[in-house]
Amino acid sequence: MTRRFFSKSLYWSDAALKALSFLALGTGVSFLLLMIVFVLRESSLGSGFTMNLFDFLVRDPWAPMATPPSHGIFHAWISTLVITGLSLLLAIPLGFGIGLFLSEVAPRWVQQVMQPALELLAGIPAVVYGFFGYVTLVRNFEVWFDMPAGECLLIAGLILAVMVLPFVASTAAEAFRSVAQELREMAYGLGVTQLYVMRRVLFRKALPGLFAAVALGLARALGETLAVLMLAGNTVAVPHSLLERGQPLTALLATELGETVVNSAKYQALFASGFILLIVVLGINAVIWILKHHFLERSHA
Amino acid sequence: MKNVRMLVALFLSLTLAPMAVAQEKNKFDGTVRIGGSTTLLPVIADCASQFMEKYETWDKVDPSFPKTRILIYVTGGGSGFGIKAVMDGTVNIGMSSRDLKDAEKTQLGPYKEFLVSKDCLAFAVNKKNPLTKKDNLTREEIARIFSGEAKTFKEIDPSLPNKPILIQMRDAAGGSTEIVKTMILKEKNFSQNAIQVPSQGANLKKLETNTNAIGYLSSVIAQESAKLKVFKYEGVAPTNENVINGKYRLSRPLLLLVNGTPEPTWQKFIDYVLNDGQKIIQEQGYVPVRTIR
Repeated sequence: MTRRFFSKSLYWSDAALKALSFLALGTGVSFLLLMIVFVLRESSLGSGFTMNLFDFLVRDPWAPMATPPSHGIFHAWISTLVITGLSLLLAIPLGFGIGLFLSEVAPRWVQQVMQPALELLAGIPAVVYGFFGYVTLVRNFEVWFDMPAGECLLIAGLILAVMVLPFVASTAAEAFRSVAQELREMAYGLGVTQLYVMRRVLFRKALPGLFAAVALGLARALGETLAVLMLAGNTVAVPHSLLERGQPLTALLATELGETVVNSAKYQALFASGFILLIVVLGINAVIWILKHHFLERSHA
Repeated sequence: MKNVRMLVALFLSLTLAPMAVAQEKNKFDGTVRIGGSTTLLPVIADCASQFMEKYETWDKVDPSFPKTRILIYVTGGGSGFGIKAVMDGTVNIGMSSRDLKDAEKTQLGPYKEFLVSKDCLAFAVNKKNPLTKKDNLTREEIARIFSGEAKTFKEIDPSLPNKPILIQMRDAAGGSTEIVKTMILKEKNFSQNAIQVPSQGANLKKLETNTNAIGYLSSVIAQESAKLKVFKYEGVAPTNENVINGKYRLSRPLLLLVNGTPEPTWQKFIDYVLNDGQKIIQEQGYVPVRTIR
């Protein structure tokens, strides 16, 4: 009967702590909701949005200084898609490999060096990555490919992959590590190779964790602003190849929002693109969440 | 146990303290909040720190004020933010590096603007850029470059190489871009292939490293760089003197804005910027407004 040993005041404090925790949780969640409401309100997407949604997303160019001004964001979401896709394409296989190596193959001292190194990489500010890409890749691209300006989607994707990599790798390593040791031993007991264990046991069991790794990487890649702003070229023409310049949604917002007349058509368009970014991130997270639970259930069955 | 109590105390102090502060509205407020244009930011921040150093408390500014410590906060955010923040009351004084749009004027209602300085705009290239063969650019040449009609140097001058010109523009809503559009491009539009540079610093850096680029920026900043060549526009050099005597037309106003009528404390600071502050403005290379007719 442990209860009797607690004084009455401790119950009070328990209740208070519980209330405070819930309050903190509520505040956190309501921030997210308020943000969505705010962005939606400022964009006037509900009512009073001056553009046809198809024109806004696909047809119109971004030409706010033209007469009449036009605020289409086709170039921006194409750029976002290309840069994010490219960075994940590079970071996911590499990150899973690093994770597998760290949790299964690497000797202890390598793990002890690599884990902090990954955390350090994750903590480097975006502007440093951007600057690094600027002084190395951008300059060299100008020489190698004889481009008037070195900035392009390819460089932005490459640097973004490096930025996303530590998140994917350390989350993946964690996922592999959390697979029960007995499963490994059982498999080895059956006489299979290490590669087989990795492929058929670890990958399956770690799948929910790996989804989390991808989700984390994706969110980071979609939301990244400064580095892509510096490296993608920030040009409003629609890109046709990886070596052309582009302007991801985040860069568009960062470039334009500060000087924009509040509640103007351009302001609405910018907030609408912010809303789209928000919805896409939420949507992808939801899909990954659903997939994760789907696989969790299957692996328990 | 103790931890919990401390936690509760901490929580209460964090939530209640701001409420208490909010209720003291009618009391004398020794703080002035300023925000907006990043062009004006360094100038006004310098003025603010000198103002605070010189007077320390408000009673030394004017004996009718109480002996409260002077606190002036200056933040950036851009001209658009500055104007919106004045509307909302987020800041007391807004900074803008462009004239207000009609829509903003109607939203703001009665307001006061103070012309603090002017910023002279110049076109510049890297010293290794082929265009350095020229000394002067006409309105038409610039319009052809920035609209994308002339894609190579050769199309500007047949003696120049057949290499593509890289156009650098500032973000569309910034004051400088608006000047280029209304005074040079006129009915033409900016080329879609222009690189939009998000800040004056990035603009300078890019021009210093890229030998194909042409851009526009504050003429002082361009002239301070050893790597850049600054062009005459229509035969007139972009100097402060030429802005003052009206020969050089490409300049933008740097404004301080107040919603309604300024509080006496704000007015004192604005007066300071308009008088003693003009020296700082001149030191930083902008055109002091007292000399503009």
